[in-house]
Amino acid sequence: MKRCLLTSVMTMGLAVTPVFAHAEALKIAFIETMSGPTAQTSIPYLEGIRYGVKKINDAGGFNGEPVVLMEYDNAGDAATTTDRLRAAISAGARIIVQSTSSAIAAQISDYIKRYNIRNKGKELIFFNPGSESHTLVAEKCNFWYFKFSSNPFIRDKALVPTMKERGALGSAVYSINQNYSYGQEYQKAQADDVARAGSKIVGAVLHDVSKIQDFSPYVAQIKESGADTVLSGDWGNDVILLMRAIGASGLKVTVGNCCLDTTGTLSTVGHAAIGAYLVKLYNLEAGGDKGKAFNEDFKSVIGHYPYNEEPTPVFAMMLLANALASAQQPDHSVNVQAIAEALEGASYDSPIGRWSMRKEDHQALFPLTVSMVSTDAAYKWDGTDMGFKLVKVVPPEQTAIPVAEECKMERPAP
Amino acid sequence: MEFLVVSALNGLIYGLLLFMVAAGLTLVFGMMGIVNFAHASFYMIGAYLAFTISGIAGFWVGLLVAPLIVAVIGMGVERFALRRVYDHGPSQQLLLTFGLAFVCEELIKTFYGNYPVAYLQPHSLDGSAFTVFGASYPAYRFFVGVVAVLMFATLYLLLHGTRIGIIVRAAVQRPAMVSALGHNVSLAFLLVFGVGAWMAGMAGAVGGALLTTSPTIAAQMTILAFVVVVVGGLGSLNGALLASVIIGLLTSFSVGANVSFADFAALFGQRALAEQIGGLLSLRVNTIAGSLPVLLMLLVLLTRPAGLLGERD
Repeated sequence: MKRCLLTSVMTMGLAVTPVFAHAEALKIAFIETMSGPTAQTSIPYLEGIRYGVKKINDAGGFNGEPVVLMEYDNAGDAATTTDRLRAAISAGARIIVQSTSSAIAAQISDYIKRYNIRNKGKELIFFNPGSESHTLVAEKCNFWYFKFSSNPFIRDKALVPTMKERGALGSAVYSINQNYSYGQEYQKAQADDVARAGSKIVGAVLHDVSKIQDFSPYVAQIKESGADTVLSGDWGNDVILLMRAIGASGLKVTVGNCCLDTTGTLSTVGHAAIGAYLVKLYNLEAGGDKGKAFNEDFKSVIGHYPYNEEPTPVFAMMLLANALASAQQPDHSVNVQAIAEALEGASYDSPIGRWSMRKEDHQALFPLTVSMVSTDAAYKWDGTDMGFKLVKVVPPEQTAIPVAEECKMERPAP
Repeated sequence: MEFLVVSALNGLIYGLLLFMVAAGLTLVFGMMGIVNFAHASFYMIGAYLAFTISGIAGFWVGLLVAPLIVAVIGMGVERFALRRVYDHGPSQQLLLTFGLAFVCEELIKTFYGNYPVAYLQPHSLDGSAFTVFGASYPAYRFFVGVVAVLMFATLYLLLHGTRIGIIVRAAVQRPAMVSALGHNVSLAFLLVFGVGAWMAGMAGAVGGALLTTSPTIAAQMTILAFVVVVVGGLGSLNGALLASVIIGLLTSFSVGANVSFADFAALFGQRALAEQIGGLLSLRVNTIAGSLPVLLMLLVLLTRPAGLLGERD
């Protein structure tokens, strides 16, 4: 009798104890190419995302819990990507992050779009700080997709007028790019912007990606065309070989490019790079004291100054942090729609200007920096005596390109 | 005119560089029947070793020592790895060398990182070799061509003027008979593999400073080396030389060929139709310049499968 009373009192006691729902941690899955020939392009994004997540957790995380970052290697492959996506979803990821390959980004965008239609209430956000293809915010624009990278149109819009202002854009411009969607977009952007600046394109060529070992035939073509400026969206080995071929031939042209700051490029190209213009989302010399503070903080966490594409995912994550702050739910659950709606209107004041998200197509708006390779830059690059001397910070209003007509975004009911 | 001459020179020298890599491959292929996918890895190892040694003792020491080390590595591969799979057939050899190529690439990435390294030409060769039509031709490029020609001459003399050359050439055609005559065919195989690796290493040592030195160069070179070997004929050194020069010139000149099939159709007044159909018909030759060597290989395989100077078995 006594024992029965004891157990029933205990049971009733347990029953009336309020059961506090365990606060749900926000899980972010980073799916990227960590092995294979293009693995090195992913490393800056990985480091930037890690720094961003650390900053969010230092400020208290989300829902009072630290944000969890899970990293998956998709080896740059479509089939493996689908597999990793499933693994991430079953591990509870609600935000999928991917950068670099636009083809993989398109695949993930389609997958998440279909998944969200079939799984109302358990939607995912696709956070994309790197892929550049314009179709992702044009035909494929999607309420759950957020794009933080620039693209050839945005970059050239900042680069070409700045080069013209500085007198570096001659009257005869040669356009050389890689033969795939990115390079083709670049070619179009260069044609439009050069025409607007009043100069003439005297030659345009597309070449195979990372296959050409000898660029001297192209340099011979450039020479024959009489160009005094070369605009190129080339990256990786292609830009190294192009710059070296230009240097070896002694041809005097000003080069405008986006990707001379990748590790190994300046040291291999050598002094042939001096005088070349670079357009990028960040420059270590920009931002005054705020910029310096950010550079030093980044160095203390990751181990080196932010370079290449690292600031892009960092600022994107800071924008996410601002959005998360206003998407906290009273019951501490993770409401992805609320996060997406908060992201739409979020903004972040980076050291060089304001980053914000455009509601119509979910393309981020941001300032760009134009710099020139020079031996009297404040921060030396790649173990050489050269660095990127800041020429101009172009504000967000001047870098934004119009919303694509093809984008018809379907918004979910609030 | 200047464009033609400079392009021809560039194409010739690029072809000669390809020859240095492909020569060893064709000898090994022709003599031992081994498809050595790791041959371009020897090229890459040669480039990286030359980079390391030149950082310590200067470019010329690196140029001398790196190929020798690669030759030793090559002989080691033959003696300890390939010899075990000779009896098991060509597919096992292929798998072994394929795996070796992967291992080499990952080893390089472990020791040197994922990014290109700054292996630069020596300052003594920084200037111009001669002027052609008012433009200076880079001295280092010319040097690469000279090294390739010297290598071909040495190899040719070795094969056709020495006793061991006769044995090697005979072993390419009739290994069992040569062995029955009492010659040490295994030793001949070992030496051929070593010399092939030496040539690839030398190609890497000069080519790495001309082009880039990064973990991806082996994969890029493999395709071109095999194309040269197939187009020239398996086992034929002269064929490899011919094919590599053709490919070098083809790549060089096709860059300037801003034409497409639609332009050809224009001769018959059908340009609009061709452009409307689009696709392959409006593809410009200069955008596929990097793929033309492979198309050439396809053409050769369809019309003359033994290669330009190869012999049918």
